[in-house]
Amino acid sequence: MRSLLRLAPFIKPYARRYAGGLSLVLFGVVLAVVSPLVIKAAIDGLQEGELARPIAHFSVALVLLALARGLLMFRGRFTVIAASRSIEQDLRSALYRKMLRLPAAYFDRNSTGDLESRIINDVEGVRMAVGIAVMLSVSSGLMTVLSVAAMFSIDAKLAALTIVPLLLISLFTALLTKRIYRESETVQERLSDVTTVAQENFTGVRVVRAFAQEDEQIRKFRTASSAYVDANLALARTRGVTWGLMTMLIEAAVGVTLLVGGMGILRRTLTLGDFTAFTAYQFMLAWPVIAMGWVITIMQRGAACVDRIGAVLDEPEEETPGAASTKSAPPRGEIEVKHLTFRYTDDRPPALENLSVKILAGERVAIVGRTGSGKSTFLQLLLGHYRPDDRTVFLDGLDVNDYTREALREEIGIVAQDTFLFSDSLASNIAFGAKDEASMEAVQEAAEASRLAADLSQFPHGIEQIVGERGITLSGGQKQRTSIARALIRKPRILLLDDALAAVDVHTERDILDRLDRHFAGRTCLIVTHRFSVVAKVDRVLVFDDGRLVEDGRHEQLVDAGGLYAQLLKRQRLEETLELG
Amino acid sequence: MSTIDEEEEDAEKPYDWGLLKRFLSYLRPHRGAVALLFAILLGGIAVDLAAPFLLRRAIDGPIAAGDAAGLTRLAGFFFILVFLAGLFETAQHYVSNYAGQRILYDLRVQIFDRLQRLPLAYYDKTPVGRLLTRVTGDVENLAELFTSGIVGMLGSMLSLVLIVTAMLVIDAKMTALTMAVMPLVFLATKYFRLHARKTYRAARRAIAALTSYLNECLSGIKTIQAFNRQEACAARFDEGAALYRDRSIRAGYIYSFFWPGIELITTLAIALVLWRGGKGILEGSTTFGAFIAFWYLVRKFFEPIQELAEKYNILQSAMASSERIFAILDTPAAPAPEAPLTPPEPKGAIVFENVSFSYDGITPVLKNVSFTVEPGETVALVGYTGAGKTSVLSLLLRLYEIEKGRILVDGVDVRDWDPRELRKRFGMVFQDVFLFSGTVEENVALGRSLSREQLDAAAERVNADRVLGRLPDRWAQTLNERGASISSGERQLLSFARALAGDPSVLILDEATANIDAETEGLIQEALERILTARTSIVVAHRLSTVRKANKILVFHKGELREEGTHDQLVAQGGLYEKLHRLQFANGSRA
Repeated sequence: MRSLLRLAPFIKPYARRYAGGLSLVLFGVVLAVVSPLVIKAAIDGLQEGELARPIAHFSVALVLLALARGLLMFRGRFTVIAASRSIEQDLRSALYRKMLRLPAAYFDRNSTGDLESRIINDVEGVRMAVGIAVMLSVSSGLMTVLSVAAMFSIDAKLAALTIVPLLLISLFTALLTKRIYRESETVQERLSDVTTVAQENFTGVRVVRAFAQEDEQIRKFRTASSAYVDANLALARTRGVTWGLMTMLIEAAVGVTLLVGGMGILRRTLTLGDFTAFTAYQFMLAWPVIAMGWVITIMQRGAACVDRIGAVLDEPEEETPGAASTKSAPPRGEIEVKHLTFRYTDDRPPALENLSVKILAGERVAIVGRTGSGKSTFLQLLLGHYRPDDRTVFLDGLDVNDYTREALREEIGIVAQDTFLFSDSLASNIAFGAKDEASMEAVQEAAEASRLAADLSQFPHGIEQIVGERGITLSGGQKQRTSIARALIRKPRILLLDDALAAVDVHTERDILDRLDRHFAGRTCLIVTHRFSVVAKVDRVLVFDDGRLVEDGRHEQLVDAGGLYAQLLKRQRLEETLELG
Repeated sequence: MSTIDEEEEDAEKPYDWGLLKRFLSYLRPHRGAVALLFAILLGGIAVDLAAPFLLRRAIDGPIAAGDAAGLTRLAGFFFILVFLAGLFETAQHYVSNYAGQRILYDLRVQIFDRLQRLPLAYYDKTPVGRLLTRVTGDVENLAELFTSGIVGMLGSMLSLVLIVTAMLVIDAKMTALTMAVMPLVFLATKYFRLHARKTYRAARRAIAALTSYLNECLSGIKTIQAFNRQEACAARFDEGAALYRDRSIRAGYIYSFFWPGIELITTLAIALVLWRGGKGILEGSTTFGAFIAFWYLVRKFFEPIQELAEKYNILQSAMASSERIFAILDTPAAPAPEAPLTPPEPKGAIVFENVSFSYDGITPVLKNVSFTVEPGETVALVGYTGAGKTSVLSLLLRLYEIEKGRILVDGVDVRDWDPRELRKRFGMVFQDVFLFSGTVEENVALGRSLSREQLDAAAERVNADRVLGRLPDRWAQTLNERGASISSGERQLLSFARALAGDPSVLILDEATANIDAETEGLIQEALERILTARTSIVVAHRLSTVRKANKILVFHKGELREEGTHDQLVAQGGLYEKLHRLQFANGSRA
């Protein structure tokens, strides 16, 4: 329950609505408790053979009471449920905002599915706890108190006797709820085992077939499914016993009333009306008693959800304000790296090792090297996705760690290796990169510069075409060009292309680079590439190998040096002839 | 999960007797349990309905007559009923779950079995997420069809009929009066069913759209951060979350309305009974016992009605699930011969005769390819990405069907082999190693009954014993999901051990040494020298040092077999291979 306290700031804005809604519900409960008294009066009157009023009046009174109660309950419940929905939304938005501020390393550690489940399922768990569970516990609580009071006022001895079975129900629910909870967890675990076997089977289908593993896989799946069935049946057994006991105890209370109350009627200490009202209260009590078990489960689950949400909210954000003198003016474009060694996590070998390099503002630099040589890591550090050691990476002579993330990224445009586009229109995807709201002209211009414009006529809706819509999928090259346009519309001082032209043909690539010359003269440009056709268009080439900078110079110099660069180049040239042959 | 997928999962279907009948056929093997379940259901209802009759007898008999002994006896009966009611409740819950789970187990396993026999092409076009939903979510939905639908709805209808019968037995006039509120009940449930479903589905769509947007943002989080777009994305997310909030509040409105509404109608019926019954008592035509018993029955009468209204919607989504499941079961399995031939002696001879192949029936992937591999030979397949090398391997294992020509393994057409027997003769190593979660032993042995000695021998032959030495539990070491707890080089060594452990007559290496570190590569190179000499081997490799030693090199280009010969022959020939060779050897690059 303590974890639920964390929710206080989220609940506070709706405190008045809660108070209003809950008081309506409470009024409704009071009216519900009055109804059996009307029936009692009617029956007692009938038994004595003389009614104070026509019997129809009693009927009308019953209906009116029910109507009033119905309206109160409806209004009250609805108010509370609606408030809980609002809390759900606030919490969900807050959680999402928090995630947007977490560092890239956090997303490397946690799967998207898990984070998604926190924002969707866990927040829903919290809503159930603050909505339906709160309402039920309040209304059931009052209903219990009032009906017990009414029963005692009719016949204290009988009340005491019949309440025993109902108390037993509470006891059983409290005991069994825990067990049910535990067994439900087991069911979930077994289900996830089944899912794992199935998922591995589907993902590894080639291996399964190649090694004729079908029977073995079926055997594994059967075992997992069997275990799942067993877990379900264990739960069904406990649940069945719980329900059976509850039914038994509720009805037993009626039995006690029949026996003891009946005797009371015989001794004339009790009227038939009392007897009827008594059974009505017993039925009324049964529901809150059952609901309590349910409420406890929802609350427990809610508390677990709050913990999972809280864990995210407690994560350190990528911005560490006040850590150093934060600079909020964007960089101009000079990059300097001094003895940079970087590891993604402590237990992994360094992705970059003792890297030192200086890139002047306005320089155009190509970075080449094999897969895994640290090229992308270098760009990620410039963008502030990961935090290098202090005083190792400088922009315009200032430590990158001293910039606010926003200022740092303001003047950097990146075209990442795996192009990520939203399932939105091409225009929106391009405008996404702009510093402010982008005009349609600016979007068109960027599409032109990235050579995407030429392809637009292929799409039924041109630049308004939604990416990924049924039947319309972009080619790899089109995706890359869209993502280049997104970076260009930003008009950044520093442009980072991370193997961004791999999927476009050589001719288009040259065209794009020419346009960069025109539009981006004087701006720093780092181009990570596997293609040597690019290098003719750059001022300088950096060659990375195993996290180190092994060569640095102009294209011609490096060719003459006959090192790694020359080797890679030769290889590529031959590959090109093969491709054409 | 994409938006499209969610829309599909959210679909519902009207009643379809064909589907229902087919589902019912799954009850047949468990008809004992199902029959027992219905007996319990009936028993439960009977016990439930006996209570008001007992109450009537007690009030009109012993209580009216002042007979204390009679009252005690009837109360005794009542307690027996109470006990039985509890028993039936427990039994019903357990047996319905028992039958339901058994049926689902059958279905789930049947789907999985089927998926094991579907052609690989089916997997190429169906996302894994969708397949997973079939064996989990959709099957669970069918569980609902059984427990809520068949058991729940039939149970509710049955008890409705019996309650009305009981009411008629007690007092026909009062029953008629109670039925007067039925039009109101119909209106309320109809309104509820219609609007609840509509608003509920609108809310589901909103949360589905929100989830898919969220999924997108989390996948593209770096892009969002790099472009300082957090605020814009948060605003858009808020919009979607608010839409979901508003729609679920709307759906909640309908629900909050329904329950008090039914309560009100119930009270209306009770008020009518009170009025009519009261008059009857005053006139002497109704007894107190009958009146109170009737009152009891009227309350019970509305329970199954509420349940029916709720379950209708569950049924519709179950219908949609059953249709999707049956679609998988109806997909034709990969073809297999009726009377498979299995050559007794594994030799490792392979013949391709004028083989043409295409994945989609449009773009040719292999064009009229013919070659022969003699037993014991090492043959290297060389060529550019997309030249058709991997397709040759897939066809050899009959993972896909060829369009023209034929492929012989040990003299028998692959189409005449039992596909599993065929594949057992091969040991494969892929570029991307796929390890199952489980122990190292399970991953290497893969269900073949191999002793630790055999496993050790296989590991030693491929230098994988070093990997084992590093693992605290050696063979019993558990590997994480997708084998993440060991390095990619180590995984590749294990997959070599896996391929060799079955002592296959043909070893297939598909770019097996790409993507690994220099150290592991050295270990594998050393091992390869030993392994390749012992058996027929087909090697797809970028690295020409392996290729060079092959007995025969096949050079593929754009789906055609362009050159064939030994290394020296091909270099002398000065064609494609010679260029490739220069590319790698001239600069001594290790990549």
